[in-house]
Amino acid sequence: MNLLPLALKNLMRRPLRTAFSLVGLALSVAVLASLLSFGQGYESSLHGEIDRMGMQMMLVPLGCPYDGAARVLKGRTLDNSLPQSALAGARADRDVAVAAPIYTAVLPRPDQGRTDLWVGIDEATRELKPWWKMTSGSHWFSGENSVILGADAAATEMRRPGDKLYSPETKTELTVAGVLERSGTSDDSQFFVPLATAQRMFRQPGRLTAIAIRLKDPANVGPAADRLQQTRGAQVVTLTEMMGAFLTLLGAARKLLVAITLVAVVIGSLSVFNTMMAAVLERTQELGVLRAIGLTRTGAFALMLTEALLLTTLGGLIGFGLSLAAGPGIQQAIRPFIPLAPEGGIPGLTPAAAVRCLTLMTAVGLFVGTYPAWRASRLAPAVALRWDG
Amino acid sequence: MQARSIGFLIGCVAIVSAVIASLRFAPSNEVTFPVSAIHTTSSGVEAAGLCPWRSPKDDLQALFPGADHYEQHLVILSDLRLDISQRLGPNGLLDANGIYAYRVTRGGKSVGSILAQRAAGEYGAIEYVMAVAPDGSLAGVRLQRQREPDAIARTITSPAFLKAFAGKTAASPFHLGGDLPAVAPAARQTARSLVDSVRRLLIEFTVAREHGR
Repeated sequence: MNLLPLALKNLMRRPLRTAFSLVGLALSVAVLASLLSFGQGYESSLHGEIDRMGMQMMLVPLGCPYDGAARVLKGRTLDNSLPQSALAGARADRDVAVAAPIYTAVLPRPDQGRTDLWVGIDEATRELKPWWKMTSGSHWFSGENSVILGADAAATEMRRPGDKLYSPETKTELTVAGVLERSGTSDDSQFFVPLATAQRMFRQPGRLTAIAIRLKDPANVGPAADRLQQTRGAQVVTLTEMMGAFLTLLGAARKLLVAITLVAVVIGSLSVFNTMMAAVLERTQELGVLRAIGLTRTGAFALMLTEALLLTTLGGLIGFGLSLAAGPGIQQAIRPFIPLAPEGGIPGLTPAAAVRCLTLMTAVGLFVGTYPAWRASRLAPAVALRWDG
Repeated sequence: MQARSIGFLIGCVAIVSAVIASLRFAPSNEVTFPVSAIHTTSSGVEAAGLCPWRSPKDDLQALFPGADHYEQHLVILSDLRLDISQRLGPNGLLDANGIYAYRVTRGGKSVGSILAQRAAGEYGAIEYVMAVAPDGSLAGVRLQRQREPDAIARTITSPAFLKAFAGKTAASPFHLGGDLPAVAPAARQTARSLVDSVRRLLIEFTVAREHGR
């Protein structure tokens, strides 16, 4: 006997009840799949973004090192700064291949709906970011009053190489030397100026926000960090440590959310269990007839189990659909609350998350379907036929 | 009964598809906003051709006092390319395939439209909004954002300069120092760019309206 059409038909007898069970399961699966996918996507995006930064550690001013490094990586300013003398010390270290000074300043103009992110850099940044590509007609800083624009900054300000750009807040007139091609990182929205120009614009001569460091051999990160940690007024944060801290934070939050979602899955499963038990009771006589005309105990068991599996699998599939649809919205909603959110899109529903959820739904179907199926298989035809509900 | 089962399955799939479609691929080109819900848009990076309307509440108060509602409408221009280019005159190439227009109403009655646009100033982008009356004439122009040096900024933000746009139509000449105030040489490039942009946007919108958009 082909059980699938019969199971489908049985589910259709109470479409409203079936629909409610499906909705409960679908919603919990959608949230679960979104959470699992987001975690995986965030981790891989973060790895990708940190790889593209081309450095292993940063020297930041004293304070919370993770907060400091995260702010610098996103082009945000810090409350305090480093003396430029720290740069010479870093460059003199035997394990340091590149030490790139950074001075960042943020000029928010909420009345105009704009925030200018100014970043002072020197030639070392080119070594640190060899993947930077410039648009046609662009070149490196040609003088102290030149500026290189990130792709989005140039688009927003309608600037091309050779155009002028003015900073009203610092009364500085600059010439656009180049425009970076879009990289999908925070560089896209920044205004890069020579380090000395940034220090002059913001009246911070001899001060740095951070120093980005690439080592000759990344394996020496430990000894190099220990030596650089001795720099006066500075502290070292390695990107491995920083990423670990962020992933730990995210992991803790995700575990809590997954636990809550699993409770929702359990509630949805109980709803399916209730549906299946009600179905067995409602169809006792019918099962008796089926048994009387030759349906085996195994057949009755398999029929009810198929119904439960069909319900949970269908709920899971609808949940995937909801997760795909709501994924970008969920991303946008939680992005501001996570540390060092990657600039580019975080991948949506991942195959791994889909497989996990589908496995979970199958397990749920088996778990909640077994007892009602067993009850159905134990019905004696004679008793069942006399059953009056 | 098997047909009903299949129908049920198809129904489930259809519901999910409809939800996905409505959330992700909504082809709607209209969004409505009550004025009570208006808020200033936050800063952020946006596509060069799509200029956000940053201060609807303030702009409506200044340009269409008493307006209580507006709705966003995407005006497609790509098939009007030839008409628009001819109206723009020499070198008048269409540079956008569509513009967002905000239809403004007061007590359910249309009072005009608002358009937001970005023009290339000498030292950075200038974002402005312009109000178009139901008869197609300009009801006003307001600047949203600019980053010009003080001397230029004073000129282009001066009420005398901005008020001179009022009453202009797509057929008006838009000459600096003629029907529009003369400006100092230092401000000429930026003012010219702004004036050209306003004229272009007004022509694009007028042609679209003439074609029932």
